[in-house]
Amino acid sequence: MTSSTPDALWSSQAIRLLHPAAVVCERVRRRVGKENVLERVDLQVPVGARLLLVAVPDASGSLLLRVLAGLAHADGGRFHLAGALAPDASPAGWARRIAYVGPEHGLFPWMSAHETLTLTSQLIGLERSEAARRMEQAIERWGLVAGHDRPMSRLGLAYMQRTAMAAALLGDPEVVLLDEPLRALDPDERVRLLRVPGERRTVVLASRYPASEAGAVNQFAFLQFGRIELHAPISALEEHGLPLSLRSIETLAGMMAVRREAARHSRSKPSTAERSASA
Amino acid sequence: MAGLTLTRMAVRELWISFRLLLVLALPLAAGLLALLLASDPDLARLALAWGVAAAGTLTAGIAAAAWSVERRRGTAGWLSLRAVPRASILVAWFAGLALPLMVGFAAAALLGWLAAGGAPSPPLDEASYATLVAAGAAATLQALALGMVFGSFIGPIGASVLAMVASGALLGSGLVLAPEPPVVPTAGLAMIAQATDLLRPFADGLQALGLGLTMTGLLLGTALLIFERVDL
Repeated sequence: MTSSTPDALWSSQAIRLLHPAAVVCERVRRRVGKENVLERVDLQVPVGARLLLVAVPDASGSLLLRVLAGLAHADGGRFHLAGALAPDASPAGWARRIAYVGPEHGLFPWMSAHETLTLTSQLIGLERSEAARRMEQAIERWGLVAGHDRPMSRLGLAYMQRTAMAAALLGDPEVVLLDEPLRALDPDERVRLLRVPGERRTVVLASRYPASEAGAVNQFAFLQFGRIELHAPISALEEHGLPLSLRSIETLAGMMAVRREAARHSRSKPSTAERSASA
Repeated sequence: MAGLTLTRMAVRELWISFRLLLVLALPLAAGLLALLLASDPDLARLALAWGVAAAGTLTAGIAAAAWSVERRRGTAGWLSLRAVPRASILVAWFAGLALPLMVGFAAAALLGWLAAGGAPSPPLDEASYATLVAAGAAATLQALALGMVFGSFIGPIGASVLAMVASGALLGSGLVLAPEPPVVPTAGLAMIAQATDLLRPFADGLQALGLGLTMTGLLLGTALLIFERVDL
């Protein structure tokens, strides 16, 4: 079962208890030059989660999102998003269900926001009336009203980043992959906009400044040296009295690793009763 | 539908950055040079062929740089995220660059025809000359496709330099090797230079055109294979 499960089924409490995953990575690998940037990434992000992806080195987080978005190739392993195995399976469906916004907006700066949204709606195959309705909403929500018919290059980086987000979300995607988006915006405004509405929408947000994402996420995953070292709810940090920061996440990951090691050690070491029984 | 939209966008992108004018003007300059040398028709045709080869070489460099920039700044990635197949993006850009080049080339060929006196001399007639021009155009398309190959995986400057060197060699071989029968896919250029000396201009022109278009297709296929594998 995936995030594409029909609404009627989804509303069932029993289905919700199964915690269907919107993003599943299994042993995803990617080498860049001689370095294993992604060594073995295993990750399951439940439907509706707002996941903060913190990576050391930070480029590996960006690369993972680019692999998931289909912009970069994985050397091995498998992944699926919103129930689709790969972008090639159904390109139009994929483009509607998956959205990606990277640190570079990738827009044509000579286009206006209106033209960009119109082009997006054409490319992802929205009907004209539906496209007009969604564009109107997007222009309103993302603060694009002023100057929406002027070339974006004249309106500044923040405007272009907001347009990139509006275009990405025009198809009402189930999974949203964000890599350091909206960095040109005021921090409060940024967090407000990053609270993307939609109970079933899953957001994976890669950031190198975790503290700035407080309020926009409810889970975090720590990708260290190509592996997911820790995936936990934000409340796990609060339980240990730690703030949302890279240092705190590293500390918690270290603590968890020590606990896992101790548990493994105790399991492998036979108890006194077992020793006497074997004797 | 998407292909047409993308080609329009590519042309607009080229127009805004003045590269469209450059791609249009380069072959046109070759035609004007031929017109200046109209007193000697043979020399005029030779100048036209060499001028077009030079224009093709420079256009290959422009194409490689433009395509590489498009890939690197994320616009190609933005399109591929919106369900546009990578092949469509590449072909649209090729078409966007080929369009002004072909318009410029056609104008240059017309000027070359006028420079040579305009009157056909057997066995060269209007149809034969048009075939030779088409074969010459196919030669410049190969240069363009070569630019797309290098632009698909190298940075703008490197791609541009390599594309100009490779296409210069390709077009140069077409100019210096005997055009009858055409053995290299860029033989159309030498055919334009030696148009009045050819025994079977129409047949050989068609053969060179076929060779040239096949080679263009192969180069575009190579560019596509590379582009499918690179990160965007």
